[in-house]
Amino acid sequence: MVISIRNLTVEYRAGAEPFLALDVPNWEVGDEEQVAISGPSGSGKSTLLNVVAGLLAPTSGSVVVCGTELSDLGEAERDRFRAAHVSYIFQTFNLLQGYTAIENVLVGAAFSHGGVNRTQARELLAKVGLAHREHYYPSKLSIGEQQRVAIARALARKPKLILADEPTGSLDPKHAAGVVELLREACREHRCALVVVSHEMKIAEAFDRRVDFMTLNRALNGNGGAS
Amino acid sequence: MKLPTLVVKSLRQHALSSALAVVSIALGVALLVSVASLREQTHRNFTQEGLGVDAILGPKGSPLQIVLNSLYHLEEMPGKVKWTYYKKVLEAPVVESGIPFITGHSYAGFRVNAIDPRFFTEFEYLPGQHFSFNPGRGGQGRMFAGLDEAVAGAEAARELHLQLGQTFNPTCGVNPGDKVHYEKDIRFVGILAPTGTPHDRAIYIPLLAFYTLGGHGSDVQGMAINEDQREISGAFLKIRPGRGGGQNPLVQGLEYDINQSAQAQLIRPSEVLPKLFSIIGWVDRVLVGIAILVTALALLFLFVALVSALRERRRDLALMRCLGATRRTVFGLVMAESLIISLAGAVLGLAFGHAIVAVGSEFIRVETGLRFSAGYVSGADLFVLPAAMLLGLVAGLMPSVQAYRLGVLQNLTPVS
Repeated sequence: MVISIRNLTVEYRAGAEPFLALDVPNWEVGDEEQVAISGPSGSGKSTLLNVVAGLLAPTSGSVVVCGTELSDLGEAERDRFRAAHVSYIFQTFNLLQGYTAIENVLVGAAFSHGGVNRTQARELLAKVGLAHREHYYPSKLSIGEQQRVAIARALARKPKLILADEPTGSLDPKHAAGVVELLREACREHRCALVVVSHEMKIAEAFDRRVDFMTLNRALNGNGGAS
Repeated sequence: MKLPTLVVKSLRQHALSSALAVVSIALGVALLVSVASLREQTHRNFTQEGLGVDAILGPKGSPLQIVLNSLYHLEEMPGKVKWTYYKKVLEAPVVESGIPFITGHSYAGFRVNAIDPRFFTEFEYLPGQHFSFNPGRGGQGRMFAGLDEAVAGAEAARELHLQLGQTFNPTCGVNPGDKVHYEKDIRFVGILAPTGTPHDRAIYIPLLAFYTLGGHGSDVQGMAINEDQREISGAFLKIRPGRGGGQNPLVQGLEYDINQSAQAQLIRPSEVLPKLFSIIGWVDRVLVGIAILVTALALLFLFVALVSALRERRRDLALMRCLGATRRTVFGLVMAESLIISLAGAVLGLAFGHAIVAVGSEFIRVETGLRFSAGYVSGADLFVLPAAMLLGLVAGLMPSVQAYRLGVLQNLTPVS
């Protein structure tokens, strides 16, 4: 299993009272599996991805990702774990603004061992259809092109798991389908698991395994959901 | 992509503010370095000049004025010393020899001193250094022999374009409008090799020539014939060394005797010159204060530039954290920028400071004859780089801590 969650809870402090944002009793994702999580905005989907990526520490429970129990790790260890095993793609703000497309692909290797060299980075950009844009800065790329660069960078770090949080949220439906298909194909080729979070049903429908987050997150039933 | 590349990329991303921070630090450091270099070299120049002379026999008056007049060709001599008294001082066992001189004349802005010819053979303008006419060292001609002959210092000759055989008429005084001795032409027969001392800016005529200059009146001209009536401005005295080559303790007795008399005083330049520095010391302190203030402002500028750059780059740093950079890594990236800017400013400032000394030394040499070296390594040079690193650390600390504390999620993810 690339992800194995048991009795996970995440609480936020809202004033004096703790606020339960996430309560996932049991959830798993297999190696190389591709999963779509759908649910309304504010339901805690991003929170789950942040916990799995090691960006957020769980309040309780067990989160094993790529064989590592994240709840046992300190913040710096989770940073190093993320650098080695997990790539994350956001809805926006994926690229470093002062870096060209190819530099954005290469930058991931600065924080971890391995990764790609310039030639391989160029090949990845070609794979996402941006061979002719490698020296473009993000400001000169469309949102769709920026997402493609983000996909190339995610693959460049040779992860076992890619987490994508609303990767098509800023794209029109035509480009959205193309980007998701590109992402799925790239993950298949690189043999890494993929978890995509989206509130768009059309995106989720493309996946064999779909998870309704309203069902997965028990906190939504208990206290009205995360805000 | 390696971490140093990330630092360089970041510096390039805010190249203008980085460059301005480097330049402002460089200006402060340059000011500090050049002031320190000029101050130390001035101190060294003055104390070394003084060390070339054991003692000066001079008239009653300000000792500093007498030293400046006799060794640096500045000011005016406050009086005269009787020749007979000078001869009496020479008889003291502690005195090895004397070189009498008369100041108070000038030519085209350069002092003309009447002096004993042994000045060119026995006088040490720096410890162990004697004057030379050797063409290989930049000298020309020979020492004066007749009463109508003169020798010029190297800088005076250069500025006045003097040639051997050329004649001149000295002015009786050192101020514009003073009377010129047209009665007798004096011919240059020698030009001294450069010494890098104020002596390069003087012209020398024989001591006796002073008494024979027309226009001085019969009493002065009588001094040429009657030695006992002569007066001099003063004399450089060579004191016999004490046991082991150190200072002769008997000189204190001689100093006491001379100073108690109404005739003259004995001045030891090595004691007088430090007083000069205590007088002008506040100028040093003001200049150093200004330099420190400029450097402090430059570091404040660096701090503001880093904070402002950090504000622009919050998202980039958060993204780096998401890509696996630890808090310590982003702390290090911001701190490295601060250190690089500080060090670049310090190195540029060092170079700029020495360039200021190079340009300034040329002006000082022309004006005073004192030689300054742009390559001189002052105390400030040695502490500039470590100090820049320390101040870079201080300026970069708060922005680095802000980067360290940066929240990844707050700066990246929209909530869903």
